[in-house]
Order: sequence, then C-alpha cells, then structure tokens
Amino acid sequence: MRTETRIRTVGLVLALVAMLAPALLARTSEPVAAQASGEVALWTEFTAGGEKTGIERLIEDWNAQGNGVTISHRPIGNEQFFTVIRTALAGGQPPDLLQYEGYQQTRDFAGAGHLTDLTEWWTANSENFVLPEAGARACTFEGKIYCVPFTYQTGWQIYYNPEILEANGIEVPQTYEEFLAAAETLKAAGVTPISLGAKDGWPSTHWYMAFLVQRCGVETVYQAIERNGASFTDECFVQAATDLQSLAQAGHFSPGMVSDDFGTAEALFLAGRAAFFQTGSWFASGWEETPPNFEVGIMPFPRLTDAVNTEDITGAVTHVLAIPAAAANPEAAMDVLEWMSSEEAANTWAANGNISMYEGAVEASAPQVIKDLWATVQEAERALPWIENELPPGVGEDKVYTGTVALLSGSLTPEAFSQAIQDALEASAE
Amino acid sequence: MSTQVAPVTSAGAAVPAARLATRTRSVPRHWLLALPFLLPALVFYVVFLLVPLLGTLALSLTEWTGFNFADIRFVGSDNFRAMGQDPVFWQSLRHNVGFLGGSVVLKTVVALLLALALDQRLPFSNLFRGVYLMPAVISLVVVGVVFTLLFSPSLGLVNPFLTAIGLGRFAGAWLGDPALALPILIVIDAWHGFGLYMFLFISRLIAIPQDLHDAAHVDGAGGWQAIRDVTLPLMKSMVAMVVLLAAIESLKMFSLVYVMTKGGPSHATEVLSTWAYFQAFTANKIGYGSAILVVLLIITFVLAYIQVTRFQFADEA
Repeated sequence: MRTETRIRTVGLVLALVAMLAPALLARTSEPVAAQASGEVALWTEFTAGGEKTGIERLIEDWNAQGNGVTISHRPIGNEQFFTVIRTALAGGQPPDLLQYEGYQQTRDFAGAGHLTDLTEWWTANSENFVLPEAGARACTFEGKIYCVPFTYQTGWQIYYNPEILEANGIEVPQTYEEFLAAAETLKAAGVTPISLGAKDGWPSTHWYMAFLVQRCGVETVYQAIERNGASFTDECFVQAATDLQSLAQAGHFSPGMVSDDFGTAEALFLAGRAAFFQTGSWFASGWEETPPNFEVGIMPFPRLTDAVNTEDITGAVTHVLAIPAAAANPEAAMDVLEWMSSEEAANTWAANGNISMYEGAVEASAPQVIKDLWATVQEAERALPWIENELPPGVGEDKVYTGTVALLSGSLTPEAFSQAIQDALEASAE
Repeated sequence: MSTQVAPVTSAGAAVPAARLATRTRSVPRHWLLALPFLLPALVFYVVFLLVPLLGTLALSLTEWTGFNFADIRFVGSDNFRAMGQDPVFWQSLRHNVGFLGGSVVLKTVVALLLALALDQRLPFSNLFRGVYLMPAVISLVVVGVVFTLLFSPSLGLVNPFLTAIGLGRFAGAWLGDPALALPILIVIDAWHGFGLYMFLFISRLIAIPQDLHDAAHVDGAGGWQAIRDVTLPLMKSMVAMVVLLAAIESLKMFSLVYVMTKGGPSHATEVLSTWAYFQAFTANKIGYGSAILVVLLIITFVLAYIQVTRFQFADEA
C-alpha cells in the first residue's frame, strides 16, 4: 500500500512538472529578456547573398552603438516567410520590426489591423527616398502609409556567360530576335541556352512578365489587374503567354525547366553549363559564396522589335519595413526603423550589393554592377511590379505561377492560361 | 423471497461474491494509480490532436483569411459545396486514390515477398533485413530532396546513367512530365515505406509455431504449398494491418509531394493535403483548406473502420 502511494505521488509530481515546465520557462524568459534589454525583434527574408551580408552588417553596426536597444534578427526562408509572418500577426506574437514585400501584403496586413500607421513619418521623410510614388504604392492601404520602402529589385536583365558566347562566336544580343538566334546557335552546338528552374512558379512568371510588359505596357496590365479597361484575355496578354510557350517549345530552356527549382537553375548557370540566366537584381550580389570560374556578364532584357511598348521594364519596391500593431517594443522599433531609413544605413545596405531606396545611396556606395542595373531602372518610363504581389494570392500564386509552368510543359494553351487568370480574378472580386 | 446466484466467469466457474466485491472496489484505485502516468500523454493528445481536430472541423464551416480572428464568418456548408466546383480538388482526390492503390499494393506485396524470402534462413538474411529497413529510418523530406536531385534532367544522375548504359532514349523530364511525376512519387513512397512493413511481416512469421510447418512437411507439402496453405492464412491479420497502416500513410501524404513537386507540374501530383495547405496558407482561405482536410479525415476514418471491422482477428477465423 505504501509503495502504491509513493508511486502515485511520484507519478503525480512528474506529470505536473511535465505539464507546467514549458509555461514556467516561458514566464521566466520571454518578457523579461525582451523588456530588460530593450530588444527589437526583426524578422526578414534576408537569408542569402548581399541581403544576408547587408542585414548582418547593419545589425552589427546598430548593436555596436550600445544605445540600450539591441536588434535580434530572425532570417526566414522566402518560401516559408509569408506563412510564418501571417501566423505570427494573427496570433498576436509578431516581431517588433517586420520586413515583407508590400503591395497585396500591405493590403492584407493593414486591412486586418496588424500594422502601425506610418503616414505621418512618411510625409515628413518621403523626400529622402527615390521613386517615392512607387514606395507609397507598395505601402498604402485606404489612403494611409503602413510601411517604409527599403530595397528596389529589377527583373529587367539577363545574366550571361561570356566564355560560352565567345566560344560559339556569339555577340551579346541587343534585341530579342538576336537573342533567339543566339539560343538557336547554342542549341545546335549542344549547349543549354537558358537555365530555368520554374518548379516554384515565380521564375517562369518573371519571364512571362518580361514579355507582358513589352506586349501590353504597365498601364494596360494595371487596368487588367484592376478590371478597369483591360482583361487578361486581351490579345497582348495572350501574345505574352505565347512568347513564353514558344521559347519553351523551341527547346531553349534547360531540360529541367519544369521540375528544377531556382537553386538548381542557378547552380547550372554558375557551373558554366548554360549560357543565359534571367533573374532579379538580387542575383548580382548572390554568387560570392559559390563564385563561378567565369566573369558573369549582365545585359538588359532584349527588346522585342514588334512590341507595343519599348519603354517599360519589370521591377519593384520589393522589401519594405513595418512595425506591427502588436509589437512588444514599438518605441525602440521606431528608433531602429528610422536608423534603417537613414543615409548611413542606406549606404551600408547599398555597399553590400542592394538597391537601397534612399536617395543617392546606390550612386554613392553600391558596387558598379548594382549601379548599372539601377541606371537601367532610372532610364525606364515605368516599371511593372512583380505581378503576383499585385494580384490576390489565389490568382497570382495559383493561376499565374502554376499556369506559366503549364505553358512551359505544354499542358495549357496561352488562351486557356489567360482565361484562367481572368476567371480567377473575377471570382476573387465577388 | 429472492434467490442469490453466484456470478459466472466466461470459463463457467463461479466467482465467490467476496472476491467480486474486492475487485469492483479496487477498480477506482487502479485508475487513480494509472491516472498520473496517463495524464501527460492525455494532455498532449487533447492539446495537440483533439483540439486542433475540433478546430479544423469548426473552421471548415467558416470563411477566414487567417489575418484576424475577428474576421471569422460562419458560412455553414458553403466550403463543402465549393469543392464540387473545384477541378483541382477532384484531381487531388484522384491522385490520393492513385497513391492509395499504387503505394499500398507495392508496399504490401514487396514487404510480404521479402519477408517470406528472408524467413527462409538464406545467407546474409540479417544483413538484408537491415538494408531494407534503412530507407524507412530516413526522413521523407531528405528522401525527397535526394530523389529530386537524382531525377533533375539538368544536374541529376538518372539521365546521364541511362545514356551511359546505352538507354539514352529513355532519358526524360521525369518529375517535369505530368504523366510520369505521380507514378515516380508513388514508387519512391513505396521504396521508403516497405522496409518497416517487412519487419512487421517477419515478426508475425516468427510467431508461427514451427510445429505447423513440420506437420505440413510430414503431410507432403512442398515449400510453396506450405506457404500458401499454412503461412499465408496465418498472416491475414498482419496483412490487413499493414494495408490499413499503408493506406492511412498514403492518404496523409504531404512531405514527399511538397518537397519534390509542390503538387506540380500543373497540379499533376497535387494531393488533398497539399491542396488544402495551398488554400489555407497561400490563398488565404483557411476555411476552405480546413474543409478539404475534413474530407480527407472522413475518408481515412471510413477506410480504417472498414479495415478494422472486416479483418480483425482474421487469422483465428
């Protein structure tokens, strides 16, 4: 009987300890640490290349100031980023300072009351930024500003391997027709012309956008997105989809275009096994960790000679910073945000290979390759933001992402692709 | 006047009234003794399984973007009706059925055949048991990443290998081919899972008394006849259990598909769990995503119920 009682008591104690331990630990660690140290939790998707080194350098600089506020950084991979931040915001456990991708995400987050209104701050400081209208567009919801633009990224370039071009007697293409001819020559020589890994949908969407902006122009695309004056089933949209499918059917993309991911396509190009690689400006500062044994060349996306629009490009304010409404340390977060939006921080950010949105930072501090990309952006009439960020996610990340992959594999016609986007867009508005 | 009848056990022996009274009194004490040990597991079961399950059921009747709890709106059966108009839902359901049929049959047949072979005391049997179990102890995510790289037409090894052995005409897009992607996933899933089931079969084979085999041998039964008439009938319940476990595993399939194809190309490998994940966490339709999971749950329950009621204790029958 005594043994039974003892066992029962020990069991009960163990059970209570097991149940209460996490709660006790949480009580003693989280709030005390956050408030006593004046810590600002910063979440970003800066996990590689110049973004990773840039944010690490910025945090190092800030923490070295010893002003009583320290930044703790949580880098989250792009694929999981949105799910993580949405869950944190909805669960009332957001970071103090948040980086995200603006546009539809601003509308979603601000619409649910999760972001702090920064209209006053923006009004007083917007003159420090380049392309302030574009920045405001990425951060606006119902007339108020909820974030601050941080990085611009452009998709209007193709990276190339000069050694492959030279070995095959090819000049750097200036027009799309020359680009096609170069691809044909390379294919005939047994070289993969273009490296593409479209498994996740967005790399093929960027190709589609490069055709779309030339076939339709930014204004028409926005008219279609806003369902006001244009439709995704219009001829220019179908033509852009046809351009993408034709390129795939001509055999110019790498054989794993549908099933490879971005990393595989990147590795294929950097290994010198493909001549061209189209992706965003982030790639220009992204190969330090695995440097190729050739000098990477960069050319503007070649223009179609029969396109309606010859001035617009693709690119957008891609990284913005915001303070969640439920931030535990909003005052300190505001201090950090102001510093991140300062000339000093902007120069550091640019020096690490990022297109800072602060006026003059790229010109003053960025590597030459970034300066060149930025010059192309500034010469353009207008830029088409990443289309998936302007469309409802069920449209952008299903009909456009999945659809462009289906165009590549030939399992969808350009007409059906365009119709599916339009139908989904209309359904989402109901 | 009442007649007192002593209670009778299943064996027919009378149990003295005093002993029965002691037993009934001692039940609550045993419960009390067991409770502290059961409690942690029970708490975990309730918090991490029952509550989310009930939450999913409740959310399936709502419309919610997932951004703000205040925005949850009750919509009744709307989400379930919407499935009827969603071609990707039906496509995913068909793929789940494909997984169910293909993967379960492959896993069960391969595991059973290998278990029977290894039960024959062949040389290196123990080594092969370990080798066959190896895939099952590797994370399915790791398996997915490795096979994705192997099958990559750009940087993988499968196409160069085929070319090297003169079978270059069979090189292909593999996971990029909508017709091939799903069968490839099914085979990989079967490769990953059969080892564990093989061990279950071996454990049942070991439990079959040697006397029965000896008797069959004395009666003139050959090797195959003994397997067919003695071994296999005694394996029925284990086969049923393996089929049930493999079926549930196939229905729950998520990580392999998500890692290798993300449901693509063009939804060619989409299954209910990946489509539910997309709807809930990418398209911001938590209610619809939950409804898809409820359908998956019902299918799993029905299947489990049929299997359990139909095949329980089949060996002894």
